[in-house]
Amino acid sequence: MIPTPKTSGPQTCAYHADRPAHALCVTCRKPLCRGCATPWEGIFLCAPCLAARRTAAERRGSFWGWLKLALGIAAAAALAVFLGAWVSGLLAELLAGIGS
Amino acid sequence: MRDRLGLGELLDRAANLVAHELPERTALCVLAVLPWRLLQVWWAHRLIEISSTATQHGGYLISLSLWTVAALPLAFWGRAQLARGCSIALSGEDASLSRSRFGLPWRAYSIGLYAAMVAAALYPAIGWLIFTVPFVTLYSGLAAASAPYQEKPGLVAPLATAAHGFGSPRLLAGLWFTAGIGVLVAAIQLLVMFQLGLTAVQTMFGLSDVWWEQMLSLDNRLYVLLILAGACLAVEPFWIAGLSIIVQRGRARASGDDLAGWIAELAEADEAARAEAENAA
Repeated sequence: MIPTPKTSGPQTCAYHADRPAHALCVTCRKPLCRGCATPWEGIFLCAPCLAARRTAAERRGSFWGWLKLALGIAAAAALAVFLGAWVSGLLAELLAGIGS
Repeated sequence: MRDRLGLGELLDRAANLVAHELPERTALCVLAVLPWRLLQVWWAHRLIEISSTATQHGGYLISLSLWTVAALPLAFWGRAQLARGCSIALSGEDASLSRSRFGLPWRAYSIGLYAAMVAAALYPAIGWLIFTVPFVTLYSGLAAASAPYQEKPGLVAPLATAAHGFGSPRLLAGLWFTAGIGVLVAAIQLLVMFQLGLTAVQTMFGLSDVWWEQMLSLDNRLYVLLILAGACLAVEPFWIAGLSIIVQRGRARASGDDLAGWIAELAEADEAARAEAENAA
């Protein structure tokens, strides 16, 4: 259940002067009508604040995504280096032993 | 409607793509693979030289391996650019790529590089079983061929993108066989070319240089390895183009684009026939 904040008196929407306020944006504290109030993670937000939060979330996701990808590439590269040296060295010595 | 792609058709389209449809500068991107191939040659040469005492040279082997792996990002960039050029040519867009469209997005490149690095680790891990080499080579090639389409990183992503493109195992076997024969033929041609060049120089200038004869002899291991690397480099664009065709076909099948295209063709033909009938009336 999403809580609807109570306002002290009759207010109108910050974006629509002809509509009564239904909720407050928890970030900018502007009164919002039913059409402008968007519930997001249990709280009401106006469109600009919602867009700002979404952009921030995308940036965070993008950073972690890049970091994970970079770590994956580095781990695969390290594996390739050590396996390349270790396995090929062993095989070369083994084959030389069989050859002689 | 969803007819199977035959090996002959695939090879024809790949050859046509590389020879006629790819812009020269995209085709030249394959030269970015050269440093990686040369380092592989040097690595193999030194490994054979120290073979009997290889395990005593752990640090040296690691440094050789490190240099080879360090050259992979550039090599993969060349391969991925080639694949991107192929994908643009296959989509029927203007092949004369503008500067902005020439570049592969960084994210797609990184996702592809991740898969290519895993393939590089798979070569020593399971490549010694010999029969696994074609599979790892296929995976490595698909990592490049599917790079222009990747949005999310994943090790099965290159295979998943191409899965619908392989009509039958025979196509895959045929592609492997043709690539193997192609490398062999290219190696023989390179050998003959160098021998002819040496003979021509000796005949024309009356030189009898023993050093060059020794260098370009099949007894010289480094020369043989370089010839093999050159042959791989010559076949590489056709291999990537072939895999790009398979990936593009797989994507069209998975998304239903091929059926949509077919329906559009039918509708066009229907429209043309109707217009013709109206004109005749």
